[in-house]
Order: sequence, then structure tokens, then C-alpha cells
Amino acid sequence: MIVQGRAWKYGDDLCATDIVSADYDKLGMSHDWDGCAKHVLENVDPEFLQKLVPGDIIVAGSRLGTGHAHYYTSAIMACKYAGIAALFCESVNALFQRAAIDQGYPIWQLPGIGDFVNDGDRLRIDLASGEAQNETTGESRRFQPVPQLVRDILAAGNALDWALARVA
Amino acid sequence: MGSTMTAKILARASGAEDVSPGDAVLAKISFLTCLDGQTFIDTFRDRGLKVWDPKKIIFCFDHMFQPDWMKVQAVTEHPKIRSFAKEQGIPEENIYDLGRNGISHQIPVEHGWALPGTVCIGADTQSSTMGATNCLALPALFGVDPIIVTGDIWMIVPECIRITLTGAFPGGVNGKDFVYRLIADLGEVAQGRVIEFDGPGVLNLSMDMRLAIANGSVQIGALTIIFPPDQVLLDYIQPRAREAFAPVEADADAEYVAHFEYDLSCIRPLVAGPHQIELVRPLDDVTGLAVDAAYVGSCSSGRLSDLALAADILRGRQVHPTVRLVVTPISAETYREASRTGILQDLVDAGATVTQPGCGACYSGNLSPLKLSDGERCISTSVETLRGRMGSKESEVILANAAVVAASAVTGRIIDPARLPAREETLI
Repeated sequence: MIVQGRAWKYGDDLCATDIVSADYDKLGMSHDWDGCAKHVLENVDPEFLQKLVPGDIIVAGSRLGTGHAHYYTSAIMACKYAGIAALFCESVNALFQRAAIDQGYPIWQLPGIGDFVNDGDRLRIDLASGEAQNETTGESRRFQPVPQLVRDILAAGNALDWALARVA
Repeated sequence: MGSTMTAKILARASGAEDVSPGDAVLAKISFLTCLDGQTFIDTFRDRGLKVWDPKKIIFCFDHMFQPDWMKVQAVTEHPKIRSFAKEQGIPEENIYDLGRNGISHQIPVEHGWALPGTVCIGADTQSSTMGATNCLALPALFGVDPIIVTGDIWMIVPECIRITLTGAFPGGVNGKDFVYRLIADLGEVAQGRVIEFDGPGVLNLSMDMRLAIANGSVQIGALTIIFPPDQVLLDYIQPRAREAFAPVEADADAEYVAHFEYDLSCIRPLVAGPHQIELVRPLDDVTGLAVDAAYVGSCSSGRLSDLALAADILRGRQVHPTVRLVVTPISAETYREASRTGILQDLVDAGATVTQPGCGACYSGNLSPLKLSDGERCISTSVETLRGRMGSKESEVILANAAVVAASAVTGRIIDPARLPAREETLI
């Protein structure tokens, strides 16, 4: 399972409502994920959606995904529908991460990632092995791999389909 | 290296010899408790799915008693749950409707579902409350669907922090004050980790106090909170337990990422809010602020000891004529016990309005007569202080323990109960 794209870096404490503002809660509550995707990081980096190319990656700092759980799904689905391949970070709120994995979306902590990539670098990472290449700087590093069980859920598309396949 | 309570429960539930932080496991759950308001019912009907074990799902009617102008309402939501239960073969007694109802993480404790040493899942945000019974209690939030297809939950074994307790709370201080102390003190060290308590101070905490402390997990930033087993727990849980159970204790050399010690006798009344739970202050910082409303209830503080604390203040006193004081017991069992012991009589004699059990005014109404208007301030024992939570977005909710709420209801201003005028002066 390989993620490859340009990495856009943001700081610590990037919370769910930084990703999609609570002002768009109605879009989230009506499951308008394309609508949510048009507002990703709007208050944090108004230029973000212009520079985003599908397949790009967000690299956040520590404590990604704090804040009220009500807004988790909107933030996660907005990233997914905007074409952001994954969110990596130094550390992540466990419930936010669970919500993402359940939606088949990779949000994973890779301690040290902030030092490994600069804003705009091209990153290639194999989630199964943890092997990462910074294609811009030419550096390589091995991070903790994403466990098989979690990769199985990601591969199934979401946790419900993964669970159904297990009882089939 | 020894194991934490968390690791022991997850090892047992996943059939592993032992597990370590960072391991991915599939843990069998003992049951699921749901509030009234569930999106998985639609998914299960649309896709023709079956729950893994209908006897192990319970529904507790607590949030949705609103008037019919609200989008989700009892008149549609409760019949939907009843018909879903029938389709799935969920026993009738697993639906805790009026007469047996209460908040979805209190009912499993009172009715012996949440047992020591097990993995307990709740749909509600504050499901960690059940951790008072030495179980690993996790909020599934929007992730219920896959869990109840298979009866297990994927987990990354979390790191744990250890908090050793000594001493006992002084009078007029309870679990809520300690939660605010932890919110103020712990910061990011608790993020995503499990808080495990130990130490001689645990024995000085009643089950009500433990439940109130475990209730604060999400607001502290922790994944959940676990109390160790002791005689207080066993005396409470044994007559209620629905099946045999085996408590877990942490090994003496268990690995924790941080260790803190608290002397409970040093905890003082604290307040949180308005609008942000992280805004924790000593009670003295807000004394004198006028209040229009006062509320005793919610999953944080609607238990018998909270009602008793309020009744002790209110006995022989009257609620100030400009204050609406509403009390909502956390469950039908608590309501009955408060009635039997005379607590309800003291409350209503003082001018409190007592409502049916459930979340009460904390969740936008819940058939509560307490709604805040523009510019109003409420002193409340409830769990959330978010803007607009109890009515107008231009109102304020300040959170405090039940003694502070009751005393403030008497004077019409936030007051330290210790400074309340003697009864003769306030008797009408």
C-alpha cells in the first residue's frame, strides 16, 4: 500500500474544524462530501485548494484531530473527496484516527515525519513496510509500519465492508 | 515488564497471551449500549444486515424526548428503535424505556452489563463512564456499524498513564471538581491514552464519584479511564452482574508513559466554561456572577450523591425567586432511590422542578422546562458548556458541582456553599 505525492505541511493542533469549518456543518450533516471538499483548510491556508493535486499528502504536527467528535466525519470525508491521499502527523487523536480508518481513509502517526519532509517536497511511503523516500531531498527513512489489520480495513474501503467480509 | 489493566483486558478479549502499546488487535466486546438516536438502524435496514448477538445490544432512552419541532423526536425515534429491535431479535427488556430508562452509560452499570475485565462499547461520547467498573469502556461514536456486525472492535493498544490517589475529598467537593483539576493539569499528556487509577485514595471514592470521574475522559483528552477493582466495586457490582466476571489489576511493574499523584483532600471546587471546557477556574473567580437558571443533572452529575449534595444545601432554604432550578435524575433507579430517601421532597420543597430521568436540559431540552434565552446565565452540573448547548447562543453555561449549583440557586448569584448565609436568614 503505497502513498506518493507532494506533501503540504501544517502545524500542531490541526483540529477537525480547521480542516472543514463548523460553518459548513449543514453540508456535513447532509453528507455532501463534495461540498465539504470545497472548503478544506480554508481558514488555515486559503491557497491550499489551488495548489492541491489529487494524490497530494497533508503532513501535520502533533495532536492532529482534536476538538468535538461531531465534526470528525466531515473533516475526514472532505479530505477524501478533495483527493488528498493521506494525512500523516507526529501524533493523532485516537478517536479521530478511528473515524478515519473506519472510513477507509489513512490518517497515521509517523513520529519524525515533520523533520523528514519540507513543505512541497515529494514523498513516497510504503505503509506496509514503513519505508519512506523524500524524492525531493533524496533521503530515505523507515517509519513504523501501519499494522496489517489496519491496512486490511483500508484495502476493504471501509470498516463495515471489512467486517461484513469477515462474517460472510 | 508487567501489564497495565488496559493491556490485560485487551489481551483477554483478543485471545492473545499479552499485548503491548502499538499492537493492532481485534477485541471481543461484551455488549453495546446505545442512546436513542442511531444512524446504524438505517444502514442495517437498507443493507439487510444482522447484529452479531441480539441479546448483547441495549437501547437506553435518554436524549430524545424533545417536542415535535425538533428533527429527531421521540414520537418517531423510539418506535423506530422498538421495531428495529423486533426485526433483529433484540429482547424487549434490552430497551430501557420510561420507567426503567436513564443515560446510556449509567444504565449498563446499574443493570450489571458493564462488568470488570471486559471491553464495553457505547455509542455515546461519554461512554468511558463505565470504566468505573474496571472495564475498558470505549465510545464508538459513528463507528458502531462494523462492531455490531462481528461483535469485535479493532484497536491499536493504547499507552497508559497512571494516577495514584491518596486522601479523600473534603466536604462539598466531588468527582466533577477532580475532572476539572485533571483537564487543567494534564494537557496533552493524556491525549489518546488510557488513565489508570490506583492508590489508597480509590477506596475513599464511592461508585458515584468514580463514575463522575470516568465520565470526564473525553474532555480530559484521554481515550478512556479505568478504575481498579476493590471491595467498593465488588459490593456494588456483584448483586447486579448479569454473568460471572474476572477483574483485572495492573502488575506492579506495568509500564506507564507518565505517573501523577493526587491527594484528594487538596482538591477544591472548580468551575469550567462558559463556552470552553478548558476554561477551568477556581470557584472564587466567578463568585458574585448573577444566574438566571440552575441545573442539577446529566451524565456528569445526575447521580444520587449529587442530588443528595444539592438537597443538603436546599433543605430548609428556598430557591431565589428569579432563578429556575431544575433537577433531572440520571436514571429511573436513581429517581426512585431519591424519592425513597426523601431527597426529592427536600428538592421540591425548596422550589426545584424535578423532571423525568435522562440527559435533561444538558441536551437541548429532553422534555426539560429549562431553556436558556439571550443573555441568560446558567450554573449547571452538566457535562457540556458549548455555546448554545442549553438554548440561545447568546446564553452562558458555567459548570460546577451540585453543592455550588444549589447554593447559587438560593442566592441568585454564584456562591461558595461554605459562605451561604445560615438558614434562618434565607427562610421565607
